[in-house]
Amino acid sequence: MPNNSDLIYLTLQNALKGLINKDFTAQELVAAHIAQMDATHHLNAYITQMADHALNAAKDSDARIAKGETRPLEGIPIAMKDLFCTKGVRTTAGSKILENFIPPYESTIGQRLLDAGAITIGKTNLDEFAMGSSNITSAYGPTLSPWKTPANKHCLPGGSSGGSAAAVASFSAIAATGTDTGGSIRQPASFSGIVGIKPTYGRCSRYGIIAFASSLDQAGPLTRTVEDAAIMLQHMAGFDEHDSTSVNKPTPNYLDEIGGSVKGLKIGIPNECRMEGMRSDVLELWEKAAQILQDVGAIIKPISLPMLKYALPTYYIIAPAEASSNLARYDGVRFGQRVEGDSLDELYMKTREAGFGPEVKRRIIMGTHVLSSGFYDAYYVKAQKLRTHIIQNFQQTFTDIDLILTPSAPTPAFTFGEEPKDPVTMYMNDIYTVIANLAGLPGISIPFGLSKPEGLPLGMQLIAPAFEESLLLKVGQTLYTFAEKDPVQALREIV
Amino acid sequence: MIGEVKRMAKLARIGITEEEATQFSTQLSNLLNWVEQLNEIDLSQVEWTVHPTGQEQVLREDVVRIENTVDDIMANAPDAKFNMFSVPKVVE
Repeated sequence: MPNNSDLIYLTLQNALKGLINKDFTAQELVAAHIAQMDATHHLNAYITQMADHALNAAKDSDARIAKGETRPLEGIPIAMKDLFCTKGVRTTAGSKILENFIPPYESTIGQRLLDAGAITIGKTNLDEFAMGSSNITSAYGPTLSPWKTPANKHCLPGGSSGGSAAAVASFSAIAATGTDTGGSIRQPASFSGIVGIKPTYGRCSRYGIIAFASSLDQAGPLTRTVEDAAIMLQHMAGFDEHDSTSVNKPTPNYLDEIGGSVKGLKIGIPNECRMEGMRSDVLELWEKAAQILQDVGAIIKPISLPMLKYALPTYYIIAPAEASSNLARYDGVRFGQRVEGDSLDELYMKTREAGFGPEVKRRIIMGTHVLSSGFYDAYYVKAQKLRTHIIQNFQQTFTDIDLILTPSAPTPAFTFGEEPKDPVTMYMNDIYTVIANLAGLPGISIPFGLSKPEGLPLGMQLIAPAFEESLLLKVGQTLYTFAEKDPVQALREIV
Repeated sequence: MIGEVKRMAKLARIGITEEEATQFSTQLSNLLNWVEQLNEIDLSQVEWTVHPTGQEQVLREDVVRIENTVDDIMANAPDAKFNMFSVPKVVE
């Protein structure tokens, strides 16, 4: 039997093999991850740890393995973003207003993963209601990344799925769930040196995931390898009768495509992503990624996405508008925190004042403004029309090419206190990722290199036409193989 | 803009402090200036997006399903009596 502390470094596939071969038990595997969760407690990656629950579930897994009734993710310890409702386990969305909320049901994705045998070891920290790019808006304190600057200061893991990214990067979970509304899986994956997929809108059910902006939100996995992302997505994807925006299409076998040839695939490089004042290390790495794909037989084509410059302003109308509507339900009446008032209105005002943090308040106010009478046509209708324009721009582009390659984020991770203070500058973090949400397209972030001079992770993003996640995984695996430094090894050296 | 922020906060039923109103009004002005660039393009002939991949509404069969979670739901209520949510008096 291997040393217990080595169990945390296993890939999902190898952990499954080890369990089936009885090299170790699910209880040992889960215990090793719980020990790592304790050892990395200072990162604040988890809002709620579920050690007892996980050890009990591991006993069941061992019993099943003994009987030969092994399920596809049997005994695999995963972390669940605290935006996914977990039956009987507190779910906060990173907000004070849900501090004591115990969901009466499990999210569809959570249920699918549990049915496949996965074991939830904890609920991960996030920006409040998933609104943020740095994980500092959580009411439960910021999450720190295991990555440190040369001055030995912890970076932030990015956001909003920052707790999930930090958990996977620091080996306390083999995989984690995340959600991505404007880049909230891909940007933290890029900052933390791991893989993150935002699937096509409708590929995964949103049922039981606390809503931020319903026409943009999509759940996906964060993992340390591309294969592991494929396996996780396999068990998350699929139509759900509880979510009428989920799409009734068969889920392909995602692992099948990995390792396939990328020869002849046409990869578009959008001119508009070459920003003025762009960091030279990001630009160099991006060019290197294109060169590598060309070397293995892909065809690199410069393309134009003239709508890119309008993507962020469009997003920052649609997302707050939908958020202001979705968050109306937190009123202190049916669940969540309540602050008493003499009248019902006063109760609402006081409850929401005390329960929401400043970023959430700002977005609700912005959303209320753009939806209000007199401004609705000028902002909201315009943004939804621009969105159509952006979608058409992509459809046109994808008649000539198979995939788009961009950096995942314009910068590497920043440290606490160094994050941009002005909302517009902070929002620029999502410049490369947000386009995929607006157009409903799937995107993946692949750990590809390290920044200069800090040596922090930089990710490359691939965007594919709708429902072509397999293509992302295939080309993503090629990039992963040619990463400047083996991504798992890089993480082992910092943790 | 401060007045507008206060009006929106009231519409959204969020109590905010004077300090927040001042801060939000600057930030909101910046945001609104920033989104002004959307006026550069003519969108008069463009339709709205309803579903990003164009999917149409899925209907399920209209059948009764019994999912009795009343106790679990009421357990989350800040104040409940007789299996009902309790709020301050609304009608005079």
